[in-house]
Amino acid sequence: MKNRQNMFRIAMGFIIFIIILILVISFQIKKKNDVFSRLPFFHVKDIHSRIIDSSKFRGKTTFISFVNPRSKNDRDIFQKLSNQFGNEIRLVAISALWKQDEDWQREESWILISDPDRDLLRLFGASFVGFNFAYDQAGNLLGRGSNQMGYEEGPKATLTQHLRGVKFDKKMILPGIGEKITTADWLKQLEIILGADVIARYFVFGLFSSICDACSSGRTIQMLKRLRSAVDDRLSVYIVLSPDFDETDLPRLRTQLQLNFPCVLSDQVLAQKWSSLKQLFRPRDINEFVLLVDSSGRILLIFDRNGENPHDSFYYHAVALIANKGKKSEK
Amino acid sequence: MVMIFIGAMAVLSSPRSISDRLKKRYVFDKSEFRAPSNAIQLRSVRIFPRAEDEEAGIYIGHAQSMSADFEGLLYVPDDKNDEILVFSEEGRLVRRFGRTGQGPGEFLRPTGIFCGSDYILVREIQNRRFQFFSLAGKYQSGFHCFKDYYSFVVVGKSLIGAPLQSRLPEKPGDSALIDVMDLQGRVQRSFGATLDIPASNYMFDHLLHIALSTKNQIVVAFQFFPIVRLYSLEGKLIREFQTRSGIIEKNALLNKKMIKSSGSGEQTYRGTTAHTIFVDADGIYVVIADKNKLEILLYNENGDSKEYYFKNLETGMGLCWGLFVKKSPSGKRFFILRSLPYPSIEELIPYK
Repeated sequence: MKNRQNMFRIAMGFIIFIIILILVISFQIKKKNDVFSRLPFFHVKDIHSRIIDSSKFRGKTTFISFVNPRSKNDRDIFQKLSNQFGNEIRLVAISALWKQDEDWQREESWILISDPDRDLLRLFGASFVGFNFAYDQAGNLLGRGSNQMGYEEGPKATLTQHLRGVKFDKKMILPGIGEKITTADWLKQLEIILGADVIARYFVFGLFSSICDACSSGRTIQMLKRLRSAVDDRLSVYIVLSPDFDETDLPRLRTQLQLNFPCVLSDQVLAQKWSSLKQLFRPRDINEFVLLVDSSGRILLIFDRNGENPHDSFYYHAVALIANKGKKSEK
Repeated sequence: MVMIFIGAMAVLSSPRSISDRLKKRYVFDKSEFRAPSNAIQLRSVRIFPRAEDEEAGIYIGHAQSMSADFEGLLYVPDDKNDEILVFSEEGRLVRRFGRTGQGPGEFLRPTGIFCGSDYILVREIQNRRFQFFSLAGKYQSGFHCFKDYYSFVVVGKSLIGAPLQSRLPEKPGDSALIDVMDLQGRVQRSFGATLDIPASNYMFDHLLHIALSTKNQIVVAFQFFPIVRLYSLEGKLIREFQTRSGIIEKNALLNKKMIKSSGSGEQTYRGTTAHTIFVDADGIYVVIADKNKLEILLYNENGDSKEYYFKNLETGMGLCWGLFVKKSPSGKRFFILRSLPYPSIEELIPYK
């Protein structure tokens, strides 16, 4: 009996210990997260010996980056942010290596902080030079990234969304399902292709503002190939490519990716649309949309690579849609 | 009984690909790799650029390949700073060229480089381009590229590229290892059978390292599988052999443990079997490193192990994406592009 009581006490003690342990760990994690989700406090001198107090950063969107002053890429990010947002954003560059870096010092509004012992690097939890952090006016973290990905894939979209209040929506480039492609002026080119093809009853258009993502994942191109072979000549597949490429690129594209369907360059109107969206959003946001359209130009299905399980979902839905509509028309 | 015996013999003697046999051997082989008695230990001569050179602006931000010209100058594409750095064998920065951008002569993440007799060819990831330059760094021409050719060589008027092998079975172009293109990037033919291991069994997309032998054969090494293949320029498989080393065996044991613990029979391969390769008149050098050791294996073109070099490491080398071997009267000098403790080139020579 006594043994049982002892066992019970030990078990209870162990359970209480585990609960306390979990609470302590979760508290520590929360504390750590707090550090990373808020602008940390620091009080240092800049390279001109002016005192910089991070608590005074509040009230303005702040971009802080651990840079190598010799890195053209790091400076390029600052320059582009400065060009796009001007005085709306506070730019802070931290480095252990400031010397006579005239390129950086020419921009008087930029705050350049020396961090010879890498204390700030540790404070921000950045593992190496090249990390950047964006905070809103209240000091809340908007996003963090690595300078290695550059401006286009890095802070651009986060800060545009925050400061300009625009968030990418695919409706900016595509009409919705059930609507006709003609409702978007910039998709006239698709209508012309559609009108010229008298055999096909369904059309798939792959809109590639850049081919990068299409290749690196490779899945969208493969999906288009599967679709082309799964459905007979009722379906025509076209890739419409950004004017970043030229006519000489088309045979390269066809042979390298073994395409068995046409690939054309976008017309000027679509190119301009892409170009204007590129100013605000990441290349990947506006790339790789695929439309299934019937011969009247009505959109039946849209593939969005940022959607959930998009490739298989689009493929099976497209095959089923074409098969069902085919049966209905036979009846 | 006789029929069973004959059947068994037929199965045992049926020709299977070397890859098949190696696949079994790689995962289940219990024999321990023993360094040969003539193993040669390497020692470091110098590392460049030095850490203190960074203040003078001489440093490599991040690099994934290296190539040497006929003079022995080492060309490193810095894919963080979008420029090409050219070092002498003594570690002096001879010149640098390129800047961030999308125009001719500009780069966005240049990761691949090949030095020809009087030109260099650079591949960029983000601009998806190949660009030709003179050895002095003057832009000559360029064209877009739509596939991830991480490793490439130029032979005459042909650009030979090995695209990234995806672990996703849906990736197009998986049916061939090598694309032969003209110097405008138009594919003329593709060849080389992929390993008959489901791509999804790999933990990562994997690279192929290619180089050109002195007999103009294409040497291919798999990043995650200890196999080297030699192809003719026309695409005929000439030879395939297995590489063996302490690190490869260690990873094989890890694989075995993983298979055992999962109990699913699913084989997931881990551990790099070739970080980079280099080919010269002596044979094919395969570089492998982990956090404790660097190994350089030298094979002749028949697949016979010729020499084994190693260096014990304290801090690891990180990724070793480039090797250049220079022969001098005093012996061989190895130049290795390493990423730890910071991106740099280390010169190694054998202990006397």
